[in-house]
Amino acid sequence: MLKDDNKKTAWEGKVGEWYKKSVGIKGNYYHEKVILPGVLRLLEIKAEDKILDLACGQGIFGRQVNNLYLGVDLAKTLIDEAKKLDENPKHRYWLGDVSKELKSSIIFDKGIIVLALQNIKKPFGVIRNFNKLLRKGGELVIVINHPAFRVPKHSDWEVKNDKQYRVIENYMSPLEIPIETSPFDKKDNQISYSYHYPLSAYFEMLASNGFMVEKIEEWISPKKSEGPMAIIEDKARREFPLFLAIKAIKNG
Amino acid sequence: MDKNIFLFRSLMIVIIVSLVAILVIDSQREIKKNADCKKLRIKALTEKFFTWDGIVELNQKGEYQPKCL
Repeated sequence: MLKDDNKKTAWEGKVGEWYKKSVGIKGNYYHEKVILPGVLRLLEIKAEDKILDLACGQGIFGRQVNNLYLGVDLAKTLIDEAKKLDENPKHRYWLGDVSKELKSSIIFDKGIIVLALQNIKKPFGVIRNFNKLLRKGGELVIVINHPAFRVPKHSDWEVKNDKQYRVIENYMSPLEIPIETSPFDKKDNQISYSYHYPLSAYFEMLASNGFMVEKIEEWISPKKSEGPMAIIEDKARREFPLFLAIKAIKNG
Repeated sequence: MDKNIFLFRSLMIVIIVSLVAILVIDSQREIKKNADCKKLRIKALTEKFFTWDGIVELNQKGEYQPKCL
């Protein structure tokens, strides 16, 4: 039986349906153009690497690899979808709370958590799981919305004097931010939660769990605007990254 | 030349040549280790390598990945 805390962050019901529709089989625009190519490049996967994907959703990353792969997620809707879409005999999908202790007889070589750590109330537990389930020297890639520029409901664009600025209202304070999946459709609307932490918190979580950060990358949107605002919008897109990718190595 | 200075310089040359020799031998050893590890990864893959249960079984026996990784 799921506790209330877990229940509210599991992407079940309408949130799960919304996510399935928005990501689909190949992923949304950002998955295809930015995230999946970036993660695959950072991980440098070898054929015999064993891969652990926590908060795997409907298995969008699993379908990109032909390695032994385990995806774990709290949402049954998404795990069922992942099993339906992925028939690779080397892949497994488990239902589980990735912020609580996970048990596995396999020790993995690579770990990922993509655009999910920001939706988990207790991210420290997730990193602890990676410490437990990755081998020494194993590599972990985390992708999140850039915490310095993309704080849901606490950051926005502002145009002044023909320049586009990113306005940030809160940054250092950890926040729990309710997000409506369909704000204009009250009938199908459901709340999911986003958790904001400053950059230093992520580095602290990694260091406290025996990880050393090897590199970080800041990924911008490749989209191009059209119309009278195109120049300033494209410049703003180039200047303010959407995503932060962290590659860390397990020390011991 | 002063005998002490000559001895000192000779000793320095011997030390430097030894260090270079150690570096060369060690680097050759590392190159060989990497090459051997690469060779170990080229092996006949049985059906077990292509299923989850098979890989878990091979992994438990230490046969899935070469130990040099």
